[in-house]
Amino acid sequence: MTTAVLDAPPVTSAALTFDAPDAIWGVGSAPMASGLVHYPLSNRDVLADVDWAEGQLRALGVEAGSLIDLVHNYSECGQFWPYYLAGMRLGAQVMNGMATPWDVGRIEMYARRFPLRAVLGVSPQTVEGMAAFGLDAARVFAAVPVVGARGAAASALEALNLRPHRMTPLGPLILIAAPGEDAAAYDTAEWILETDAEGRILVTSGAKRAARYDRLDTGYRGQVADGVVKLEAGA
Amino acid sequence: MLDAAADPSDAMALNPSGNSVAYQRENVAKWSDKPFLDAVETASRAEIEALQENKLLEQLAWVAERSAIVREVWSAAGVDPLSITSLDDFKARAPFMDKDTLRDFRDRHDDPFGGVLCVDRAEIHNIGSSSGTTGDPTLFAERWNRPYEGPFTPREYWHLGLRPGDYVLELSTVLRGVAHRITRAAGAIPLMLNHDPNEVEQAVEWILKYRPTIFFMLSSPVIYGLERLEREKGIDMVDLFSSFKACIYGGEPIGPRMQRTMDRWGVKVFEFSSLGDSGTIWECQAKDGFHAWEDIAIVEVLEPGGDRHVADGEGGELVVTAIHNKTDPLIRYRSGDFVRYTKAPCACGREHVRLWLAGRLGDEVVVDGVSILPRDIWTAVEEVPETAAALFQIIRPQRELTELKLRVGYDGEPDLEDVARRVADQVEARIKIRPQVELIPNSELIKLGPPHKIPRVAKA
Repeated sequence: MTTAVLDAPPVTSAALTFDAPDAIWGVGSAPMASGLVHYPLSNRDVLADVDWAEGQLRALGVEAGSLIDLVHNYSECGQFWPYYLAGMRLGAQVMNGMATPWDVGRIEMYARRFPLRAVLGVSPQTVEGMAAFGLDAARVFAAVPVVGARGAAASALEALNLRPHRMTPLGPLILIAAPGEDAAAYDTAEWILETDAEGRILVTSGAKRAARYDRLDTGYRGQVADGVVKLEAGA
Repeated sequence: MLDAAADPSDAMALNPSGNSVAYQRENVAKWSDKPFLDAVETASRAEIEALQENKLLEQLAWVAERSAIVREVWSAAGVDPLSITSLDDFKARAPFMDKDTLRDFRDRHDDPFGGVLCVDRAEIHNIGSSSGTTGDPTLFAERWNRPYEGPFTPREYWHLGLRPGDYVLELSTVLRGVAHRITRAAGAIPLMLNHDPNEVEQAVEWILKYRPTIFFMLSSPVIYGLERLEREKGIDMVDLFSSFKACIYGGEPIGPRMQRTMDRWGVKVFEFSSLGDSGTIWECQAKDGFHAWEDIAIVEVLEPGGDRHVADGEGGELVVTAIHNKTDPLIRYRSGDFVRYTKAPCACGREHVRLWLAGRLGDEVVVDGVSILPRDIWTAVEEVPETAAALFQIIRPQRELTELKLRVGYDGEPDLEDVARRVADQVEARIKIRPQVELIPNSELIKLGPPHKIPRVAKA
């Protein structure tokens, strides 16, 4: 696997600049066509992504008192952490599960014990894990108004007569498409998405971000227009 | 309620790290050239116990009004929490609770929190949980816009050498919460990767790039992954670990063979473990026991199943009372952990109680009258090269057994019959009981549990 580094942050006197906008909050990773890249996020980046995530969650009906379950692995904190803070900003309570087969018990438990508004990030491994551990995914998610599922997991849940939102970790971004749709908006203030002649979706970061993505191939194909990405079928 | 992008003049708002602005300021103010972060770390026994008594009485007044489980348990025992007058009085009269108490309350009242929640649900920010390897997971509610109530504090990292601006390699899980909050509270920068033995190659690359100070965390599966990488890629492990001031090992005790591997690589390993679901306990630089912070919890060690306190230096069941956590505190909680303890001063300069872990009550099997814990099996399994990762389970359909059955993970493509015989030989040589051994590939065994540990007992 090829691995790239995007602008490794210098070790600075974080003690003095801890909450400064440009101080590095952390180093995350994103799957790209070339392999996994690791990239820094500044405090400013996090807050910009929180602003975007807040709008996304609000559109999913998340509000004060909502309960949301974010399903992701630790390496995906760069993408998912803004959704924690955005949920909290809206007054929601956030719980989490991991996108692994063995953690399906916790996802099932949260869905059984709490009136969840949304479970976001259900992965193919989640669906496979539920089958392996004897859990009926249709039953687990039946009462959850919003289920965001990735790739093959969305198709698998549709086959169970659920209507999941299709979630796609597009490198450092998360796309959320409405049920039955394959087009999703992205944050044009922070990212430039474009396609090359072969239809590959390339990502470039906004000027203020700590990481400099420069037309990196996301590994997905599709169309980009007016702040909306339409992924190629089967993506 | 809160605003992650809030004006920093709002001390209750969360900063981008998910910590309150006030808490972050408080931490920054503590940074100095001293080896300890918090003054209370070096408090004398008398100071610790005076502080505990004050915090305990305050906590009892809090839970008497707000904790449904405390009201039920104490009422059944005929004890009014407000009638407790001192630490000694508490230790003499307070009733106990345990995991079954919470589960029973949860099921009878349809309360996911088992009656422990002391705040309005709307005040909660995050609901984490245990991994649920022994049943429905235990929930942990956290309020993030107040002094930290999570599983550990920046003081552990500080003592082990972390300083603001350092990198922390986090091979972590998303269970109780997210580890990067505490890393940020400590002023450091998290490098966030999965705790997965199959992804350690990425960790190697990040280590060489960023040269982090702390490794959070090592576990048997991760070391197994690193050993494989060393064999297959010839990586210089001594160089790889040279930047780390501390590598935190958790999930379960480190076995002797794995310790030898750590020594060979020059890894400065510090173990940590759970403090009865009310925090964590960590080894210090002196590496002579695990410190429990007694300004956070009252620690008692009692005879198993009884209420007699065992003497300093002796072993018993760990019983914990949270006195700092106001969100979902456990009061006189029987953890099911066997520990030995001392309140003697530690060479590190602190007098907070130290614990040594012996095992969990729920992991014990009795075969023909002989008590066996996973640690009794550990060294034997490690001694066979093909099973040296010590990934194994005791099959425990019930506590009392007539035959010991083990499920043991192996590496490579060995003669399975021969490996099973040698494992059985090693176990028999140590505990005088010959087990039945079922072998399965390590890669399959790892899938059975959370990535930092496998369940050491299985019903079947």
